[in-house]
Amino acid sequence: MQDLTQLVAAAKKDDELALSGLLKQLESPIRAFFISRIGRRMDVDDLVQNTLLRVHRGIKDLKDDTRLKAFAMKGALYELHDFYRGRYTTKEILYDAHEPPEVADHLSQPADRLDVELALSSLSPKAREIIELREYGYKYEEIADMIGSTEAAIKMQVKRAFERMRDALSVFLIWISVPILFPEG
Amino acid sequence: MPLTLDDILQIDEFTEADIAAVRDAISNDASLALALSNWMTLQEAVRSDWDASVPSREQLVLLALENQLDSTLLSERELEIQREGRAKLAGAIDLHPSVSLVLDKIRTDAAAFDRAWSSSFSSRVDRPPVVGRPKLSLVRYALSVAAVVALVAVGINLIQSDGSQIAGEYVTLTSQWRTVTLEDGTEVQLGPDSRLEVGVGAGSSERYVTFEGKAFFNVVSSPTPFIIETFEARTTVLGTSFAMRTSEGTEVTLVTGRVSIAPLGNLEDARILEPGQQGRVSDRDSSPSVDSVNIERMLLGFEPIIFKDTPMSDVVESLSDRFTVSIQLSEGLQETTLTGTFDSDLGAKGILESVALAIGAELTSSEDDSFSLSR
Repeated sequence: MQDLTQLVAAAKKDDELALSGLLKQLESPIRAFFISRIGRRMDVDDLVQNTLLRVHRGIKDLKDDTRLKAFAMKGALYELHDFYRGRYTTKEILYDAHEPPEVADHLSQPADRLDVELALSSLSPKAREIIELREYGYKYEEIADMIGSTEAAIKMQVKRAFERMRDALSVFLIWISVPILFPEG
Repeated sequence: MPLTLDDILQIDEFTEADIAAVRDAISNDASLALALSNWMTLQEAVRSDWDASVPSREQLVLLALENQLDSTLLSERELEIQREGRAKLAGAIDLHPSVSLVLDKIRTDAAAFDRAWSSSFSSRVDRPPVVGRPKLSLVRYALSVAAVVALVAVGINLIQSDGSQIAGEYVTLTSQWRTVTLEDGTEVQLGPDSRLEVGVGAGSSERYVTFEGKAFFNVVSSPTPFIIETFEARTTVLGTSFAMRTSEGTEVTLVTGRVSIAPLGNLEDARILEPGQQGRVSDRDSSPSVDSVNIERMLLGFEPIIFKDTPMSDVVESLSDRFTVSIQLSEGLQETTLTGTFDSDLGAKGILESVALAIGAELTSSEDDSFSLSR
């Protein structure tokens, strides 16, 4: 590790050769880390590059030259969590951004806010936890691992949550239609 | 055959083909489109609620790794957002218990980084200095990365296929917590005053450790059994997570998976534990007893309580919540800060005694779990 520490010290003094050498050495563990987290996929290249750029930009601020591992780890974890953020953008997946269907516009109306509150209240704590983790960007498989369950059980919870939401909305729609069916006077 | 709602909800990661199929299905089925829109709106509402009360992703990383990322590794901006995140965290966990799971996952990710780092650098001793190598700019370096993907992948496989167990002993001191990652990827969070010895007496068909103290084990799945022996008992697992404590006997609390526990004097007398059960062997010849336990409450004892430059007002609030006790703090101590790691097993009184010593305050307590710190 002494050689890495020396490279850090030199890189901080604008030694480009040392900086290139340092980044080259870091590439392997950082790549191995991302592969262990998200598998071998194209995104790994971007994540590795962005992490190396973070190290490159921040190296001069590293106060202790022997702490490179923790410093690189911090950058890699930031990148991983940015990756999670962009993992599921449901709207883009379901609708063509250039041709959003009318129903999507309709649901953005303030009048529908009540439906959402009702739907939220229909969620069990466990289902809400799963949806939160899913929205954070974790896969079903990862969520199962995090809460000590199986992927099948997690998907079943999601399905039940959907059914409860649909039932809750059905009751609500009947309730709001009463004045229409039986107008006053 | 067109996709059903069930099919769509089951998709874990959408491929281009999935996306096309979903779009095709909803363009031909208005009720499916409406159902999915409702679901999507619900998801967005959950996300907005989370975003409004939970620290940002960057803050969560900084908070999860607070004991690893000290001030020498953080910029002024990061220190500031870490402070802001800390103030927000307790309330966020109350509203969204899943925040704790995210923090745990970040720590697991950090342990994976540690392993990747060790694999890369421990096998390459005394690297030659880079002087004399062709100058490589960052841009050129970036362009060269894709070309080495295959090579790196092979290297990783070679490292991982070398599964030889390294014998060694890991010991923690009083008040010290330490995470140990074994050669097979199993992670052990050792509590204070604990000892883990790896590979002693290991056979070729088993993973074997001896242990005393308290620890949380996250054992990597493998056809090879993972065996933990304490003074009294043998615990055998294949891949699971559980907490273990040795104090007047051996106690195993299972969180996920399955384990068997047997007294060392009669290994045939084994009991299988299900998640949420706690098995206990009081001596080498006693049959294991099995009880159901509240896992969340029990696991609190397996997390260190860490304060770092934390104002005493926050310390008191945190300890009050954790141990459900009342703690009064005199006016002059509100701004005093505390840095230290405490073992939950000490209880509120034990921890407050240490805190009082550290900040030069006097602790008084009453029988109804009320405490007062003053100077």
